[in-house]
Amino acid sequence: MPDLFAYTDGACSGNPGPGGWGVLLIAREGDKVLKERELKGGAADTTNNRMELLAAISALESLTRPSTLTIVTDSAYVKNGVTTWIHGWKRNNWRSAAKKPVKNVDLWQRIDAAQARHDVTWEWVKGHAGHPENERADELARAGMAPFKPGG
Amino acid sequence: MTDRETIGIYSARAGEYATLKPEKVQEDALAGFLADMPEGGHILDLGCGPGLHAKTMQAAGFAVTAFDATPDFVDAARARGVDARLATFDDLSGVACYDGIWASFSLLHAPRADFPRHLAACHRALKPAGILFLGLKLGSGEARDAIGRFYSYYCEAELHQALGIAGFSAITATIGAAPGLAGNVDPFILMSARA
Repeated sequence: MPDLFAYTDGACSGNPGPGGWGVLLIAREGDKVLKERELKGGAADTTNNRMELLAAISALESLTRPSTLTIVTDSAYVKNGVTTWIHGWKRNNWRSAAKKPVKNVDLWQRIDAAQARHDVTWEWVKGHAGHPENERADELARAGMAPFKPGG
Repeated sequence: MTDRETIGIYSARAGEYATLKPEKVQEDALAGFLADMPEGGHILDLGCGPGLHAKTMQAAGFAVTAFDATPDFVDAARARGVDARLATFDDLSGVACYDGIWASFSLLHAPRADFPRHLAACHRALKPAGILFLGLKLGSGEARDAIGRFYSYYCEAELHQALGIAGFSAITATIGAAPGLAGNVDPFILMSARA
């Protein structure tokens, strides 16, 4: 069985502002790359956190079959949210510990639904620290954002 | 101009097409599109095929008008209870009628030269701040696929420009790759834009 990895990243110019997201999907057997696929997108008016979330959501939603995969993100917001905070939010009917509505609840609910079909391991890496796959995801996110930037 | 050959292919394979599982990426996009629609709003499904998406819209409480140029598809959609009409893109003549237009992998069957005119008709037909959803194949030029359907291809920058000229502002874009009826894996783009 090949191992499936999704490297995800978001970008935003201004926060809020035009943004983009990128996903690099890699199927590996040992060190050998069997298959690679890239996804990207953009939005006219968004935030960095929304783009980080949408990258992970797009990776999960692009898999037509229930899969075992590792999602590698450089967003502590996504990693902590989906592995820790989300359990409390769900118990509190999507309210934070301070009883306020959870920010980006539309996307957190979407990621919750999208990951339920899969067996996901979430991994955090430091961004812009020389991980080639994370750098590629960053390039894709910037490319997704480019057409939404004024004059872009 | 309507491509008779493409309509003939869809007619011949309408039964097979109707049994294809709806593509997940389009289903997810439809959920996003509907989330932006006002409650009970009026949606035009432009190029509705056998009416799967239109049926989903209706089930979610929206008023749906559906156009398709292939008679077999119109029949199939009607059999599902969808208000489907036999109509080409040129029959879109309404003014400020719809809250949203869902053009999912349909306008790619129109010649590139006609695309600006069709986008302008969509803009006219939408209410102020109405939303257009476009699903298209990425690439350049025009071609027939392996089973003979006519396709126009666009690059992302071109689409942003064409939407802008028609009076739209792009809200989101998603680019990926998925297999279609002809079996080949083509890069596609999904865009939403506000009138």
